Amino acid sequence: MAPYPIIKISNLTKIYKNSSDRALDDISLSIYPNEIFGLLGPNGAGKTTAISILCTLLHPSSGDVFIDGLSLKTHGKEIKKIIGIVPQDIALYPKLTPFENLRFYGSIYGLKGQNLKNIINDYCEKFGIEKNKHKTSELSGGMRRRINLTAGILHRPKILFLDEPTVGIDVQSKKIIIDYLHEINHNGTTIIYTSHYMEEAENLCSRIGIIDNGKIIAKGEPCQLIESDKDCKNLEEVFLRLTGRALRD
Amino acid sequence: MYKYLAIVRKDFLLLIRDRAGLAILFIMPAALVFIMTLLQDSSFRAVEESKISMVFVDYDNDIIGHAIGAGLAQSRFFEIHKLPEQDPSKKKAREKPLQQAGFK
Repeated sequence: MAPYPIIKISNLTKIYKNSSDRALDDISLSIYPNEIFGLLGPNGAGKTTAISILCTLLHPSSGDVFIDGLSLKTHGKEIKKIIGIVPQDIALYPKLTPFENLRFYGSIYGLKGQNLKNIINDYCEKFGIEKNKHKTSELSGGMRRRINLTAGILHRPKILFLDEPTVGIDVQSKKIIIDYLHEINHNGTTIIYTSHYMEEAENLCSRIGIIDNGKIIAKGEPCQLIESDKDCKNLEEVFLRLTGRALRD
Repeated sequence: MYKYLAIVRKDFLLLIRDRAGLAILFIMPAALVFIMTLLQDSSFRAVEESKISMVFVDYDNDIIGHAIGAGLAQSRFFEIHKLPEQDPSKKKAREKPLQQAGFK
């Protein structure tokens, strides 16, 4: 018997105001517990729109999403409590120190007191974050990315959405982040991940969906996708074959 | 409630570290009040310094008429002209201030 999907997307469509194009076009998809699901696609394909809807930040034009059995339309508040979001852009206050930023996000997630301080200390130690020495604006890109990730996982969410979490960082920071994602996934967190780094997605994700022009054009395990096309040796070649070589934006 | 306190604490920290923001919040209104006070003071002074010429004709010539005349004379806003005639015509009353101002 197949496991019950932790995220079930049914005929999801999104059309932005003042636009006739469909950012998402009748997408249906199931993501199962403990998966690391990679949502890949060229710029403007609809990845961020999909993630934003799943995170309750955007309303769909039609269709519905069920997260842990709860409808996005009727249980937005309950869903917010079990998800974590790591956005593409650094969502930190530059004039606050890492500790102040993390304390704020932890408080918003309902954590408080010594418990919150202990959680922040644990993550700072794990990710090599200097808590109070500098303001966030004075830190390196890699450090900011690690704090950005920490802000999304402080409350230990059941489902974690990552929108290009490793953009513009060095190999060391990337390795720490990827290793930690494997660790929390092993401990029961379902991860939905978008990226432009095909190699990273191939190694990290248990299943991948390739999205283009608002539609899922392929999905499956990375090795299945590669094997489905004899001319392709890796995920990048599969991706280029499916989405073409024309420039986007 | 705790979430609101967290937001207040965060915004307070952001505010005290933002010198430009602090200047806009406190110094700009103080500067505005100072400039407006100067402007209004000079316009009040202009009004106070220029008096309105007025001919007061007292047909009553009794206690109430005298009281009104005395009140107008004490006012800072009027320059009262008296006519030598005991019973001036309305025409003369109109002409008197114009003559004193040099128009006739």
